Amino acid sequence: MSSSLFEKNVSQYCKKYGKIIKNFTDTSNLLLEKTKDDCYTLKLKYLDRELYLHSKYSPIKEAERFVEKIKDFNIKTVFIIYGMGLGYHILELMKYLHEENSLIIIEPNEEVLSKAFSVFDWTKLLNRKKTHLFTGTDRQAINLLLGEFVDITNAENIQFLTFSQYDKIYPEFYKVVYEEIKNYVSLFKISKNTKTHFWNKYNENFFNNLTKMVHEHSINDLKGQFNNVPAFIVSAGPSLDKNIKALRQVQNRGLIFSGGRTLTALIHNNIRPHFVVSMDPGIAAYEVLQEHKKHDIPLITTVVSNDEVIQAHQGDQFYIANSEYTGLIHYFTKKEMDILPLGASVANASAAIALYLGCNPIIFVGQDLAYTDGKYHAQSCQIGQEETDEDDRFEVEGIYGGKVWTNSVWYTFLMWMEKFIYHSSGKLFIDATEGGAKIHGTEILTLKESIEKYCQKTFDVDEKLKEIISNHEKVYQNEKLKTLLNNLKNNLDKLDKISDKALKDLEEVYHCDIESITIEHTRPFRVFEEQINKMMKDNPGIKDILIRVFEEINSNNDFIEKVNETEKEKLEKIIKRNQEFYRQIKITVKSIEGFIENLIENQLESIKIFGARIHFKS
Amino acid sequence: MDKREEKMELVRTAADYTGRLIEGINEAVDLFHEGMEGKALDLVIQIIDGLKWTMEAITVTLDVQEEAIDISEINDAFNAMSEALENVDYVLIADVLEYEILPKVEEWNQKLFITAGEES
Repeated sequence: MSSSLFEKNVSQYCKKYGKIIKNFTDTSNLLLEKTKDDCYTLKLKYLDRELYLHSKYSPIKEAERFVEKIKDFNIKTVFIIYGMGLGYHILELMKYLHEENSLIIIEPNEEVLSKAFSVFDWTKLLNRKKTHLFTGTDRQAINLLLGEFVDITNAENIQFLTFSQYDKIYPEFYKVVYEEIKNYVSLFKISKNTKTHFWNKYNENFFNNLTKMVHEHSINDLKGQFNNVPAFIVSAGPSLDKNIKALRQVQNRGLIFSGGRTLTALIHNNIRPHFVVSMDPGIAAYEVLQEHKKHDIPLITTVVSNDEVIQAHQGDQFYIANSEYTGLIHYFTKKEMDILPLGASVANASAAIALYLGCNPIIFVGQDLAYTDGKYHAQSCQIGQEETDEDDRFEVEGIYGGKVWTNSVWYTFLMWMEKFIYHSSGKLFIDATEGGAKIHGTEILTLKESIEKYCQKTFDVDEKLKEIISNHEKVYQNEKLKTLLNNLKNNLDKLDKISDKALKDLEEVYHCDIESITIEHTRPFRVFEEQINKMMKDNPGIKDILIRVFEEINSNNDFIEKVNETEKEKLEKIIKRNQEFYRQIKITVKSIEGFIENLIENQLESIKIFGARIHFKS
Repeated sequence: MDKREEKMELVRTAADYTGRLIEGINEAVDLFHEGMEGKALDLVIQIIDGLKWTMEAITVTLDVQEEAIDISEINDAFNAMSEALENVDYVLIADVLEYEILPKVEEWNQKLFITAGEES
């Protein structure tokens, strides 16, 4: 125990986190006690009891045991340790960590941390990259911290470990941390599954949307064009039936954003929204439009949204980029096209779009995110019989106090919306749903009050839209598109050939005796890798096409190196990883080539005929 | 069967039984360390009952034991255990089981086997 040690740790802690840890010298709640093996343990006064945070006999053995019990981790595992204590187990764990491993240590009690700082030198831990020493019990802070560490590639590779009896001593915060981790994991799992599920569909949509995308508008054409115009985001929650008619009063004093599902209800109520937002890649996005599939209201969509919605639509379109297609977008359109944080629902996306357009305030209508009056959707937006999962129901805070029932999908939308509002300082968000779950960060008003208060200025939205559209002339460039498609196809053929060659060589190595394989055997594969890397560098479109293959392979725990793996194990993993990698490339190439051929044959038919004529004449 | 023979039989039973008790204590310690306190506490109740029975068996067979066992040596451990249970301190309960009770039961087990004339 030394005060200079404490100062050293605090100084490093302060350097990293910009705050200090108080030295709790006189504390009757926490007692540092010598153990039988001449180390230290901590005795904590808890309610009317006294509890040890470490063994009072052998905390080192206890720490070794704690680490020994950790199974199935690799160099990408995220360790979240609930309970620092004096930190014996952290010191032990650090012996086994790879620099790639993320480490979050949560110590709910700052007093305990101050004791740990006076017993051991923690500068190595505090200097370690991918490490955070969290203290306190703030939900939002832990949520933000997890957001920094957990992502789609590691959400299924987390070790959440509780030290000693921390879950019993600090059970409330334990529950918070557990729930937050669970939420992140399920969010990323859904996202990963959606991506995997829709991967092919995203690609199909992208190529089918290309002919429209190249000559329609980029979302950038709308950026900041509606500064301080109120935006009404209309969703299909049960409360929409109550106040939908009030939207007629908005007219040209605000922008109305509709999703696909709410469009029919709005039109039936003689309300023409200013924009329809369509995000989903699946066919459901097309079906919800019902008899209004061929509407001509300006459509805001993404490059990978449902192709049938986009093909049927008769009006102007504004495209938002997708982070995984920026190379392809640039390759085909050469347009500046921004990526927006679109969340998981049309309302999430509409809020982000409204903000991007400069709108303020942003007013939510029909955004119940709850089973108001036991209903799933507004009557006016219901299509057929809706089935709900009775097991997936839980209570959340209601807009007018009390509790309301929601489900995990709506809760994900709610969480996203609250975080979005939190990060959009300076903008006003109003919940004019008049029912449902409370959206923290919003002002609660009725729709009538919102319109009366914020829609006082007339703004000629239609005129403004006409001006934007005429300022950004559409250029039809089908011939150029065909050339680009053919060039891309040539590149894909080349990729396919490289993969064939790599697979053939891998097959030969694989059938050798594993004992006789050395790292030398893997050298030729680097040549293939370099060829692929060069192709990706020369054409970022290729990089986009292969991004999912890389993502899948890199997040597959079967291929991630384990800590302290033998050379043979490493080698075997490299071979299997490469085999899967080239197999996946071949599958992807085949699928993309299919979309390209389909596009050339079906949508660029006129070019085909034109080309045939030239061929005939020559 | 004469009285001595009866006592020797009891010593053999107690020797076997303390072997199982050792396994039970180790299992309880592991359960505490794995955070399965409910299961571990169920086992602790059985361990305490088992210890009571063993101590009775040791007391009535004192005159036949080759190396006499002093059961009062475990009193401190019992006191520590009762304090740990009172505080619902799982760390201390596991500690007392592992570092106080287990070594005593291992010692008894060896001495009982010596009397029984078998290897433990």
